[in-house]
Amino acid sequence: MTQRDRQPRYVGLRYKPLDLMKSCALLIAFFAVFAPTVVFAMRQQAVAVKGILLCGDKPAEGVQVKLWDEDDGPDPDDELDAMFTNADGSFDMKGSTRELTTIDPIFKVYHDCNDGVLPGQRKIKLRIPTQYIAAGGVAKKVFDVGILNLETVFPGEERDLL
Amino acid sequence: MFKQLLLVTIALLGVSEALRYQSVAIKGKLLCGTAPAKNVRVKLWDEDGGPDPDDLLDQGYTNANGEFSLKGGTTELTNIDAIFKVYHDCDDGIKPGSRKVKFQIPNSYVFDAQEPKKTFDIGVLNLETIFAKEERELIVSKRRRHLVKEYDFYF
Repeated sequence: MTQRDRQPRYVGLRYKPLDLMKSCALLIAFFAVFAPTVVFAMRQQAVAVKGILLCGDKPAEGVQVKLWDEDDGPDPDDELDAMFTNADGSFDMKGSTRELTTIDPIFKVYHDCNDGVLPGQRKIKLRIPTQYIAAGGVAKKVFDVGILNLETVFPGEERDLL
Repeated sequence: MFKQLLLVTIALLGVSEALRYQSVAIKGKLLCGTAPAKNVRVKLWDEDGGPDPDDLLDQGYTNANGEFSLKGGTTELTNIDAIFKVYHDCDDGIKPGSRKVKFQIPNSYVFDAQEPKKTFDIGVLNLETIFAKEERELIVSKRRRHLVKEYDFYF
């Protein structure tokens, strides 16, 4: 007998066919469970906001208002809607976007109420609570900010120079 | 000696003129979503920078319609910084304490007089709104309408 005859001979792979099949099945099962989660997580979300803006006791007409989705991290913020207030100071905005995580809707106002000759505008940011975010492309409830007097110095007010 | 006295008198006059009584008034309406925010604690403060402690000018609660009206004043050297504070439980579930929001009333509504000439109308605020720099206040006194003042028992 030669050296070669005494050694056990493996056909092809070191692993038994049954073990290989079990590993494959596990891998397929893993993807089957998690793949749909990734697909469903990128979801369309919608929000709407309305209200009235005053400057003192007069309606604040032609004031720039914007509806944004602020994203943390590398994802840039999305402007969902923008408009100028009507003659009676009222506004109505809505928009939607597709995001992995829950959107962070922000209502922004850029105005010159009580701002004299100062360059740039006063900038107010208010966050819309999550119960007003709807799944899909259309908001179910419209968030009403109320009637805001823009003379008020809101917490966290900034200045916008552009 | 006379010169020194004159100097001191002039200095004192200058200081007493700058110390002036300033008053401010604010009114408005608070909502929680579409419903009026009733019995919400509201306060009107004068915030002073530096060593001078802040002064509580007025405090109260919103009525059944969510409306409130506060007015007060204090004697100060510099312009008072009128701050309106709201302590509420709108959208706050079972969390202990209350949400605390602060707004500053513009200086144009602070008057060098016993009575403010104009009342600042903050408008109608939806307390569901998440305002910037919101804080939490753990102990907020509740309105007790049925509580009789203690001294009524004795007089």
